[in-house]
Amino acid sequence: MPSAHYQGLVIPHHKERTREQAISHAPAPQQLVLTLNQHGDTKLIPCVSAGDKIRLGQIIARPDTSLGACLHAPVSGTVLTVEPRPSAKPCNEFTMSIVLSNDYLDTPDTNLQAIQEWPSMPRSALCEHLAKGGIVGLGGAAFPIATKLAVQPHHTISQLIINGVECEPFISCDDRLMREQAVTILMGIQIMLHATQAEQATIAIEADKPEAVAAIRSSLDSLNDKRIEIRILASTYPSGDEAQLIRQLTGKEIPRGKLPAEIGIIVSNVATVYACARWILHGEPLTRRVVTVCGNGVSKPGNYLTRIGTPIRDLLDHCGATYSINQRLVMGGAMMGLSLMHPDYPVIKASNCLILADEHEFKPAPPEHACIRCGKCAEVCPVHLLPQLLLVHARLGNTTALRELELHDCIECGSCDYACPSHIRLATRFRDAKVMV
Amino acid sequence: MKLNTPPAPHLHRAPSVRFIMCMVLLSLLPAMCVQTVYFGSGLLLQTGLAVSTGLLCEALALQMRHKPLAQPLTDGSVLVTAALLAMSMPPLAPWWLIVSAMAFAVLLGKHAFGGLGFNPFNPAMLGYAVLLVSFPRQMTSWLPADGALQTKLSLNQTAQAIFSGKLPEIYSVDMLSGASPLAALKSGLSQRQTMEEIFNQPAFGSFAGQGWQWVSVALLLGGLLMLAMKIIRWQIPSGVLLGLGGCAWIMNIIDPGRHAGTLFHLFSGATMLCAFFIATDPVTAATSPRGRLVYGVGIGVLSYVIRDFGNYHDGVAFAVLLMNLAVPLIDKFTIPRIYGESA
Repeated sequence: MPSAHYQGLVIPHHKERTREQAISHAPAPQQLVLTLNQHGDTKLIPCVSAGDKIRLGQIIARPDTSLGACLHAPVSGTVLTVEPRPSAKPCNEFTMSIVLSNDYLDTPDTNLQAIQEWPSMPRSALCEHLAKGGIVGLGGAAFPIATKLAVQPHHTISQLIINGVECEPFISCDDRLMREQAVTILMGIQIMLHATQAEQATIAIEADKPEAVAAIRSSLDSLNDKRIEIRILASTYPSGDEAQLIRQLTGKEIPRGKLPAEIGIIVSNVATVYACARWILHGEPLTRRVVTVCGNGVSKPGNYLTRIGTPIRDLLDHCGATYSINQRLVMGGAMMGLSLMHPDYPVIKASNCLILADEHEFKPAPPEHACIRCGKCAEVCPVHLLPQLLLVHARLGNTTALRELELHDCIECGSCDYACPSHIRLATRFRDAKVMV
Repeated sequence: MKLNTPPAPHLHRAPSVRFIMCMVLLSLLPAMCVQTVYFGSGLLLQTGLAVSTGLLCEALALQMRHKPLAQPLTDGSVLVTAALLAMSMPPLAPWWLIVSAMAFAVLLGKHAFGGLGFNPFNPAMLGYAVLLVSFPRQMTSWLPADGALQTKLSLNQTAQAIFSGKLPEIYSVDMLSGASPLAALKSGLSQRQTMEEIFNQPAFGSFAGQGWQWVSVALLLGGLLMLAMKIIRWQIPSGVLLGLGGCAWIMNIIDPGRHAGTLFHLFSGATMLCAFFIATDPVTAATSPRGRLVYGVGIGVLSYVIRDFGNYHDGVAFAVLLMNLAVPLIDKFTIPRIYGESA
């Protein structure tokens, strides 16, 4: 099969401290903060106010459009307040948030029901129901599934790609989920196949996760669904990026500025299809997710099933965090993750990993030297941009040239930074330059 | 409490510029040894002169530009320029030749344009070309590598030859004005000698010139080492070898009586040095892989054209400088297709 022009970087995985740790429950906190900008661009309007009693799974905020994801209460209890609170994304800005007080009863919302008869449901009704589960892409982009499925009338979907690649160093939550919940994931894929009417689903897993491959394969054998196949990819970065994944599996490219649906493909993370299965089969909306907690600042690294809205500090304390100077707290992976100023932000739906590392684990970036135009950056750029030329124009503030060189196609994967022998902070420059252009 | 918040990525493992330069020097080492064996210890003194002049000029330029000294002086780029220039010099060339070439390379070739990374022309080739144009006789006095003269000179006598121009009494000055195989080929052809006559001279060795051919083989090995270490990429070397070798092959087929064969052209003169060590200087080369292939082929073809039809017996330096000039144009027309862009 073609893997046209994809050349990933081989980078150390750093997954050894967490990949053998079974998923365990993080304790539900006393207070939860649910930010209202969970899902990319869609804004959420709160539908509860201070003092309201809420039940587990109850909708507490709705998107302002029909395409979006609702926010459900991860605990039962009381709404303390609706007010701006600091949120990690966008960086350290105050964002309107719903603050809940947990009564530790987990009284469920009786309106929520499992739908066992989904195979006989019409496709559109299933899509409509899926859209209500608050489900978003759990790989990190938090793209609402409702939006993803809404492409349907305009595009015929032929292939479903289930992303279990997890190419970022340190993260192991998807690996564990595949090992422990293979059956549910496959059910989720069947639900998605029905919802999209795609003929085929491909689960892509990197070669460094043989246990996950074995688990999925054995469940698949007993399920005997000919529509689902497994593909094992070489362990490179950023092979799990949606565009790169499609190219590796199908040889096709997503046309610029278009959605994968344009070429008949929908890509979904394994955790996302797992969430779909939980929603349809158990009536559980997305209120929890698996978060990998690692770094040498925590004594109990592992994969924790965490309620959305849990303060990061509570989760880290549960993992035995000790804080010291010169530490870094990263949300996301080591290549693209965001550095947080402090742990007093809540976990959001997109939080797949938290790394508390000191300066030995994440060494300070070496000093920048002059660019020698060696072209290593262009060699490793998965999008085939010319980072060295972009750098020149970014320094000059030449916005026309930056547009011509398609700066906006940069996915900020950090590969160029990683490969640069002059240690130039290219990804940072490009992030800043994008704002300028 | 406030934590450090450096931006992503949080991992950095790339080899540094210094490491790359060190690897280039390491790969150059076998060829320098072979050259010393065949052409005598002159190369060592020339290298010493080039390195000290280079570092001195670099420091001077940085001082004048109010830049910190430590990093640029230790990044190894001056050493690479010095080594390349020293290898291109006749081993017994007078000291002021390499000193002025190196000073020109560093001061005007590199720092006048803004230092490492900003120079449009390969500094070593700029220094070499200026000297070649200004002092053609001294710059082409390569001695035949038949083990006759240079290797018999002691280090002391070599130093005396370089610094005062004096040779021990038993050697005549005529012996200094030997010619490289490429130069011998050119003069032989102009004297209407046949190819056979020319190639039967002992200086031509078994296939591309005594000494020269083995220096070239060592350079090729060093180049392959750099390729294996991914210090350089295949596009430029193959472009140069393909361009030069291809031209030589075609011309040799058309008129074997007037044009030497492919093997001779590839393994004599500065072909290998250029293909793997000079043209691959990333700063002055084209940017994209396709552009680098074009750039390499251009250097190869121009080198051949200058060798075969021009007045100079080796055209590598001029070919590199001419292609340096063409880099912005090549870059403009070889921008790679971006992901998702229609072809």
